[in-house]
Amino acid sequence: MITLIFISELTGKFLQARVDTNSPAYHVSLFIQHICFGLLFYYLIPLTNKLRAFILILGFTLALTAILTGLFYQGLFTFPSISASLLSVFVSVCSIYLFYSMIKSPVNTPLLKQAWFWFASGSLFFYSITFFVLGYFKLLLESPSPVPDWCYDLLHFANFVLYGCYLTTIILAAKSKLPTHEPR
Amino acid sequence: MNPDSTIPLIAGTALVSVLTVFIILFVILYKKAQLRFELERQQFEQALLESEVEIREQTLADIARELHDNIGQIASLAKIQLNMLPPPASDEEVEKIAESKQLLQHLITEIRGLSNSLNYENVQSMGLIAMMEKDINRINKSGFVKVTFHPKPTALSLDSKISIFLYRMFQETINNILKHSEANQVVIGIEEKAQEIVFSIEDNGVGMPKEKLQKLLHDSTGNGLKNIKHRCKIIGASFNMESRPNMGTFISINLPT
Repeated sequence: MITLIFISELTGKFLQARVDTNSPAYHVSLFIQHICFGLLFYYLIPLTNKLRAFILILGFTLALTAILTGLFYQGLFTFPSISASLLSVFVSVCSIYLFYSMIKSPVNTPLLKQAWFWFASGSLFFYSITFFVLGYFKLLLESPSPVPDWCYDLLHFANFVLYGCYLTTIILAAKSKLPTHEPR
Repeated sequence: MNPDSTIPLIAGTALVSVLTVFIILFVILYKKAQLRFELERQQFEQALLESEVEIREQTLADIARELHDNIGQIASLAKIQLNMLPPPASDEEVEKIAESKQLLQHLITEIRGLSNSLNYENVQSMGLIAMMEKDINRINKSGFVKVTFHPKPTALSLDSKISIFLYRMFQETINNILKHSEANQVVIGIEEKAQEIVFSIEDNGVGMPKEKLQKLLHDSTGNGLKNIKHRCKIIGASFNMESRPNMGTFISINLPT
């Protein structure tokens, strides 16, 4: 995830500077993100083997959809992408389920010292805001009104929350061996 | 501000607020779940400790029965056979046989005493005070140490399980005193107060420095003190131990009534 974020941010900035858009990188990173999140939630969420496999398959299917829509339906330069919205829904739902599973099987460690709490909080916060903002962008692009500044501010804020939460996850995960859920 | 963006702005603010409330709510619910989990864990630990003690008591009772019914019987049989021997030819033989009979009698008494103190059913039938007195008399007879029982209540209104626990703690403490304290005087007391029963044991032995006491209380690898603390935990009693070099050791167990 760190490598993915690092590469996609750098490529995005590079393309923005060279061709005035980061869209191709944005579409490609969506494909990888679907797979990565599918794998992450496959290992994290305590479910039966069948349901975990379903999450993994869903992740791969969404990744394939990202490629197909990027190449044949929306094109690589279209923004906002359908796949980004699908990814937001996928990650938000899985994060909520991760919260639920944490309540179902609590551990003695204080909540703020649990890596997965920060991971789920950051993911839910960022991806539900992204889903909302992408929907609003779509509306704005169809109308003559310009995108208001607060929209970018909200995205920046959500980005800071996400990176802050992920950084905390990495620090906490490095300190302790993270528990993953054994298949039932 | 563009009027078209008012509704999305409100919706965006509402979304951020909902997410924040969701996470706060999750934190509260998780805290509750953690408390419930901790309570369940404690209950499980308590049940485990109780069954551990129950198994230990059952084993001790089995050993006591075996001592009384088997080894005690063999010793009695040996004594009967000695009594049935033809009259000895010399005074030396008379003396040896008399000495053997005396030793056997002592062995039988010791086996009975040990069997009685090991079997929890005796604590239930005779009561805690009587059993403790019996053990104290036995220790005093040995002459190694002088044990005094003061204050001594005439009767104690205690649950039989708690009586067994207190009796075992008394045995364990006496055992520790005999093994480590080098004391020649021990004072045992049971005091029934308004809200608690205070069980105390004090000796005039070598005692120990503060650091050794702390190590003993918190990192002890020995089973004796660990067992006493376990039993205290099960019956909800508090355990206190004080000691100073050459000033003896004082132990108190406060049991809320």
